[in-house]
Amino acid sequence: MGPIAKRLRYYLGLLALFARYSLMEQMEYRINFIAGIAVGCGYMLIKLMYAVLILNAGADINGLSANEMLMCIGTYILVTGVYMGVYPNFWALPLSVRDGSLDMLLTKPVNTQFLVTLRKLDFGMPLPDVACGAALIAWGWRREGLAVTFTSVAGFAALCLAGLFLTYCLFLIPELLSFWFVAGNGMQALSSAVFDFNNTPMNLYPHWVRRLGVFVLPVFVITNFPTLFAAGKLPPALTAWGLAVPVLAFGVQRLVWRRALRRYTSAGG
Amino acid sequence: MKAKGYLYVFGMGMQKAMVYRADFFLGLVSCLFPIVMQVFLWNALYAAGAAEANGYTYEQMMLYTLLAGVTARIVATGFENEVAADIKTGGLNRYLVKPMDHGRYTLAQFLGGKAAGIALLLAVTAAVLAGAAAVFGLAFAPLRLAVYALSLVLALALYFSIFYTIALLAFWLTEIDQLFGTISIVIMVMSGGVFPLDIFGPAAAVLSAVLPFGYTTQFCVNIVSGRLGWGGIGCGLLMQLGWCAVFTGLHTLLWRRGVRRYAAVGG
Repeated sequence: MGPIAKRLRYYLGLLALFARYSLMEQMEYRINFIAGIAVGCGYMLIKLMYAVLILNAGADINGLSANEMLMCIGTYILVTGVYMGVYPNFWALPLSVRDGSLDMLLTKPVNTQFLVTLRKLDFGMPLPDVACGAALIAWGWRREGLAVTFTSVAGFAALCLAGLFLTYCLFLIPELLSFWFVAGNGMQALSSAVFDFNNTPMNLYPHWVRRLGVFVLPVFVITNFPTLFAAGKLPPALTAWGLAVPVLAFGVQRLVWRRALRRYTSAGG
Repeated sequence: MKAKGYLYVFGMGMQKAMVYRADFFLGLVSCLFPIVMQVFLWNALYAAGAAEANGYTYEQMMLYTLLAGVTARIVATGFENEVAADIKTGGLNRYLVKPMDHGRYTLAQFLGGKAAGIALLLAVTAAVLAGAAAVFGLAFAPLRLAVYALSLVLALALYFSIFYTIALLAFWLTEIDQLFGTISIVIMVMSGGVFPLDIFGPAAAVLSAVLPFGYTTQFCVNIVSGRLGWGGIGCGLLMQLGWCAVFTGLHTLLWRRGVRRYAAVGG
């Protein structure tokens, strides 16, 4: 076994441990776990309102049918669900910078970013989103009569995974700004609002917004590209961009992370 | 406690809100994003001829989208977690020993915290109305605007009463934070803060007319947009007053009973 594979196995093992401990912790407070599911359902309700509107309209808009748009919204709901699973870590980061509790994590013999961003996994809130998102994708796929081939399913899954990784990288950066600014609530609200632009498929936006959302701040790549690929409407160049942009975002995010850690003063720690 | 004391609390709330100014303005900017998104959505749907069936003209929907987003932000609360945490951790003690009413104190602090934001959002509302008049050629009667302002005050009072009542449930429920999240979202949807509820069919329209939540956003916006006649406006204002009275009675009752079982753990 090569050193990279060994390392990967080690971190996957750690992730499994984090998941186990997080689940045990959540099962200790079952009412909270159920309340988490209720919160997830509440947020899902808002996203479903957009789906209902688009389905009721039933029109083809800028090259996408209502069913394909439903798949885009389903992908958004699914990705949001998984993102919510790690979000408690993102949310807690500004606080741990402010009160100095990051100190303890810095002393552990594990990659700090891995520990800071993945050590607590939420299972309650993501459940409704993941289930509903998957159901909407399957429903839209079937209604549209898209072919279920290995290429389309694997491509859809690969672009979804790329989108998930891109979400992790893109939306960690605003949290890292807490190393520079003391209060981070405004930045968190802003980044959530940007992510929520995916509530509606990108074909509903004007051309210049689409370009911004694909090439400058690539939030539309996350939830639109998988459907466009499955529908055969994603050109090869954009498919390549969809797979490459998470790697680029990871590079940028690592750069910001290193600079942020250098600024950490352990105030209050 | 005399009114002067509450004025001080109001001032403290204002100062607290403005400590982190960049954070404050980023929060305000973030509330504009969903509005922008919905403007694009309705533009695309109306351009495709796919949205006329919902009973709103393009102009009415645009005005609704712009005003509902701002109105929902004007009335939104955010004090409930603090009240619940005080009850849970014993922090309520510091209010109990003071010669003041906790509800009025919270209201003064809440209004102080929102004052700057409300001033800014009212300026945005004025800009939206001026823009709608210029772009869509809509005319807004001064009397309707005055009634809209009155309905906003009542909506703010109603929203506060609803959330203060919910916050006081912390006397009985120890872990209530998640519940706030769920209730906030449901109330936001039911208030018409995302979309006007009547576009989702007659059942949703009835719910919006009967429950208190629609009177915090959708009702206020419909006054300006002209979708409500004077009869409807009168009924709506009475409903706002009625629901305010119901929730004020409810939180007074909850406070009396809650304080009796309050154990001041950790205080």
